[in-house]
Amino acid sequence: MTEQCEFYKKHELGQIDDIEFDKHLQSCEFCKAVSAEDAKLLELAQSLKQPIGPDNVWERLESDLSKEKSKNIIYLLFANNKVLIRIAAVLLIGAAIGFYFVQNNQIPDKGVVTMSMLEKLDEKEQDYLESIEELEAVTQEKMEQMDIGLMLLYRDKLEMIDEQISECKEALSDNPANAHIHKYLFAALKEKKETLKEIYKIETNKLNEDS
Amino acid sequence: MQIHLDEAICTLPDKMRACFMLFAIEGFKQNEIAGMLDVTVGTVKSHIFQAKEKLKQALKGELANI
Repeated sequence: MTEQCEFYKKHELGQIDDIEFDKHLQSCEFCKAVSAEDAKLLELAQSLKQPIGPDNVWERLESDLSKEKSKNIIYLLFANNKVLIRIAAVLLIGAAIGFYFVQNNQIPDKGVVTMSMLEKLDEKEQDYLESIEELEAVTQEKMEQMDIGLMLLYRDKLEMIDEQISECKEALSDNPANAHIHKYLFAALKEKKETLKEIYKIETNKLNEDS
Repeated sequence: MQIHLDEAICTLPDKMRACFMLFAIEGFKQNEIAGMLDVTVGTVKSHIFQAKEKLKQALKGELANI
């Protein structure tokens, strides 16, 4: 390659066409070597199309990305905690309101009685029923001997009270903890007991007057 | 090697660098480059030839090792 040849330069500048230069290449070692060097240079230049990064660029990129990722995870956890705290606060308030309403609804004045109260009410009802039964047994015979007009009045009254009692019992079978129905039932039972007592007293007085 | 070539390209005059990069790196034809740079095809050929000579000089024996 010590010998200079103008063919290569002339070809490069467009003074010699490709066909003529190819023929020349077969016989000229200098031009062959220069062309080979050209090809290598162009090949190397083609590789510049890909961006060249500094050494350890991927390691640095990966470590930076992992740092960024960990930061993001911390941020997400923090953001999620905020959301969780809000949800917990809402649930706590909801639970408090629910508890308040449940507690209030257990008060008998509001229309619902507790199990212990219900047992006591049943006992009292039973007492009433027993005393009414006893009074009915005593007054039954006396009512038959009573003045017919008075007897019909009392019978109608007792029938009306019985109807009221049965209605209350029917309602309680559907809703046993309803304080209002218990109240009406007690009123009816008390009314019946008082009426029977009244009948017993009237009859006794009358019998006493007759004797 | 790539870095050396890149550095050598940076030292070329503007027009010469533009012609070489468009031809050797981007793959345009000489007449296309002439149209882009508003110069004759002969000028483009001359710029490319001179650029190659300068780059070969800059890289010295490195090309032989490829």
